[in-house]
Amino acid sequence: MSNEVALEIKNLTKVIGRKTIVDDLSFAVRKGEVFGLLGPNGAGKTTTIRMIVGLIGITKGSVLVHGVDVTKDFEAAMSHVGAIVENPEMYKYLSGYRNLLHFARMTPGVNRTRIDEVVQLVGLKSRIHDRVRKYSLGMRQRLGLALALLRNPSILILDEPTNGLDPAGIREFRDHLRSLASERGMSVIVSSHLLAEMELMCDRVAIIQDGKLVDIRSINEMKGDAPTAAQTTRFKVDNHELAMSIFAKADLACQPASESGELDVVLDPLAVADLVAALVHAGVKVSGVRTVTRTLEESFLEMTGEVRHA
Amino acid sequence: MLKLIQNESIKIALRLRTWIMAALIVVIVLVAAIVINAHLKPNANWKQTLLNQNAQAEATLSNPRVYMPPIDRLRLKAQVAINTYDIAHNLPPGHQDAWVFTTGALSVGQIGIVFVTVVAGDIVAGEFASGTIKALLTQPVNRTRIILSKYVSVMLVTLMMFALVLVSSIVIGGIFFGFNGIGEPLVFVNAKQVVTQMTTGSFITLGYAFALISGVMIVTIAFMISAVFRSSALAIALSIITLFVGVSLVQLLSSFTWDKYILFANTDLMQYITGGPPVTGMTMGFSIVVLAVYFIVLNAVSWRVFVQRDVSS
Repeated sequence: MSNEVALEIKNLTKVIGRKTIVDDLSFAVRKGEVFGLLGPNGAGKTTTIRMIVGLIGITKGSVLVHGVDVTKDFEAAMSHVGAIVENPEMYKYLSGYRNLLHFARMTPGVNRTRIDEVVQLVGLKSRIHDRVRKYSLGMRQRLGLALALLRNPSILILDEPTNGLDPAGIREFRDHLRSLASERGMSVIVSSHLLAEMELMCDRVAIIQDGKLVDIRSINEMKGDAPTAAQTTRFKVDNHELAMSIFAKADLACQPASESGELDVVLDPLAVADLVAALVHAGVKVSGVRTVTRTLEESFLEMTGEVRHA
Repeated sequence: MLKLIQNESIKIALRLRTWIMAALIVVIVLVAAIVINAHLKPNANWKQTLLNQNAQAEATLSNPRVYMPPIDRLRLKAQVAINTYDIAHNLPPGHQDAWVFTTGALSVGQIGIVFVTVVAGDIVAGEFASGTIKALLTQPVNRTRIILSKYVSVMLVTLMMFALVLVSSIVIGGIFFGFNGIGEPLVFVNAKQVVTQMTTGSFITLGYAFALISGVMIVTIAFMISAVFRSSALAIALSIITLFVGVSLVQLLSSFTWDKYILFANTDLMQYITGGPPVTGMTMGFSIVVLAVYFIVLNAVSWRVFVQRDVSS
């Protein structure tokens, strides 16, 4: 991943009637990164994506694709962008191949060889001449991806891409995205309300709530398992008082973990071995040591300050 | 741009309904030829028949107790004049050949317009209904070019529909009634209510050219409704209704001076060749200007709405 910016959003705002759907949103997506837009339903993710691809007008702010303003030169900007907005809808009365041919005619330089390439890439070769009417949802999704990749875009934009896919399909889709980003240097922007999905797919996520940007974090940062950072380590010991005095001697804050009767200590992972040695030396029986990773969901709820019910 | 028009034309051509409608047009022309052929029997006493018809018509026209709308009164008078002309020039009525048949087939063109309206009403709205509009508008092609390509394609369909009516009626008419007669005179009552004649070939040329113009106007309305309301059904229904109600509306409002500015008072330019305009004092030049203004306004509305629209949902 380089620091070159592929897509830049500046103060993007969308007002419909009196309602501000997207409020002063700014972020930049680097070359070769998978960037997530994460937020609950109705947070403004889809509206943001629709503004980026020019489906809806921009009230204020700008979208720059490799420095080109989408509203000023739509055709130049969009020639770098491939997109699937919500479900990939195709002409059902045409075959998959004719659908691709149709959209290929809209971009200069996309020929039949390129169509064959993307069909191969998404694995639709055997069914490409069937009418889309006969496709399963997974196949339509793959055809949608083929269409988005057709003009070899440097930026791929996918709105809720895994909606309606089965677990195997989601996994396959994720692998596709990761390889496109890492091997071809493509920047991928995905939106989702599913934390677990974002955790597996993205390098960084922008958390959006009520149209506003809450924060931009790298996935590693959010999970709290960045290699150098201090981590919460949970000790299972027989003598709490003795153990706590040893922690205090080492200048470590300690608090009992809720129900389990274990002790949580925040420390550098490299110091764990020494601490265990000290405990054992003092005669404390240590029956378990493990690091506690915060789940993305915990971080998310902490950041959005929201208690949500499933 | 050519590739965009190619795209739109392919999408029209690969729908089954397009071919069903085309086949229906040919079938209607064929059925008309069969029916006319079945009723075509030479009548030795045709002069006497026409004289009887005229006497009856004159009696009706001069009877103050018979109510008749002005337009029908004019038509009846015209029929009398034509009958008199036929008797004087020894032309038996009901004569058929490929060319006379083709002038009659102009009314099949009206049905054809209804079919083209279906295509025009669906061409923009259908993309919204199926959701394909999202893929269409996220290509590196601006919206002006997209809507223009759609409009041009619809116009091509209109042109081809009339070409189909023309060619199929010449061929079918020729097979049934023979191909002679293109240079023979066609007798009709002109706009000044004078019996006139023109070669059948010239009449066909004018008739089809003017029918094409009125077809373009109806289809443009359907296209505009399709682009503005994003509903195929509404676009198709509304334009068919205007197609049928429009002319009656003009008659209904004929006492108002602004009646002549209504689109449907002007769509049929044939009224300046035969029959006469619905409001006295109208000229063909006036109608052409009115049609041009409507044409520009309707298309400006379609374009503006389509280009500005937020595509959500």
